[in-house]
Amino acid sequence: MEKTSGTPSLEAVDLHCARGERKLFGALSFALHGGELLRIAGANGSGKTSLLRISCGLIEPTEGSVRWCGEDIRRLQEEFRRQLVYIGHADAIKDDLTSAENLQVACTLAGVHARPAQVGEALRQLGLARTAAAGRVDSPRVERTRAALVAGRAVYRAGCRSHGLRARPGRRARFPGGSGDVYHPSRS
Amino acid sequence: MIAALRCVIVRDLLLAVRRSSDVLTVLLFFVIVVSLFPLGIGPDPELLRTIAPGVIWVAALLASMLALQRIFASDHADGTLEQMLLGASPLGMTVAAKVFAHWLVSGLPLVLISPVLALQFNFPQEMLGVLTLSLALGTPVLSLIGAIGAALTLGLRGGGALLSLLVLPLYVPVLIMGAGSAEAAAAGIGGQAQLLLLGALLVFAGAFAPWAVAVALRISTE
Repeated sequence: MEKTSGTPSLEAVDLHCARGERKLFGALSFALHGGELLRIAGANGSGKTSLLRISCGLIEPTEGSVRWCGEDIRRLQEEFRRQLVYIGHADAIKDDLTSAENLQVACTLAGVHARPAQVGEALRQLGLARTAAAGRVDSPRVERTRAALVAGRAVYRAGCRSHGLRARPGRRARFPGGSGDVYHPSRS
Repeated sequence: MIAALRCVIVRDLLLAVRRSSDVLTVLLFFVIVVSLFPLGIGPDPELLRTIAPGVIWVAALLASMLALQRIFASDHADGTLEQMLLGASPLGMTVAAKVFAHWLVSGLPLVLISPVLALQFNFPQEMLGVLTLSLALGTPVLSLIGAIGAALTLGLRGGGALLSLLVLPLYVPVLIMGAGSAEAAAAGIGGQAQLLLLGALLVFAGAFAPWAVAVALRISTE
């Protein structure tokens, strides 16, 4: 059912990463096709965050390259970033803005034009209609995370098909101090 | 892309309105520093008239320094900056929008209130226009140059002091032209030359500073 042949969507080729004097990882490669999910596990400081940031172009690898549909992301630049949804450690939610405003900003930054009605609908679907109507994002952590999810999902939905991700262990990617599992999600 | 720029500007203004204390701090700092000089120096009208442009300009410089750190700090802390780095519009454009919004909030109020403050110095009323115009041309340059420093010192401990050391020397040409234009106008020789040079500085900084800021942001978020 899954297409695992042909050009992979996201491909890391022989990545090396050093932060300052310390070498984090080297000769790391993986290839992901459409609908696949890569989970990376590793000890603290083994370079998981660095790998994430390298693969979306936030930092440059010391050596090697990341390719999107066969093209180096450094060459693709905005073309790659338009198709990217990045949810990092920080959730990019402003407490001083309402959920709707947060979502609107996230969409616009990602290059997705979202009408206020669409934003309201997305929030309603996620049970955030109350905060959408008035008031700022409520302080509890839960609300923040949900709003981050909303922002990410809305952009994701607008950009590509939504997959029902059901984890099924597949190949494993080599990673020092840990391992990475490639999951083949099946459509639900 | 225009929509993205407008969105960034509106967002920053909205945040400024909801945190209006930050904006008022800068404005009050400016007003108080400028008002301290007549109190400290005494009521000699000739002397006050001479120092007015210099005092107002130096106070504007310090006030804009005070506001600088905020320009990227909160976006850096909550991850919005990463989203901007990965955004669909070029980072330089996003930065330009942010700097413009920052100037609207921290620079424009100084420009608007400066004629009132200049009256304390017995500054000739017909020259108020020149002083205000010099500030209107100069304060955006301060925001643009300052943004480079703010981007470079982003996330550093004790970044505030370093930022002043980095940015204040770069403010010197703006200060000389800005204060010089009002002084020249008050002396009766017209401040046109300085104003034109300020305009040139603004065009130059407006064209190149956003890209320098973009590069600095990429370096400091690594």
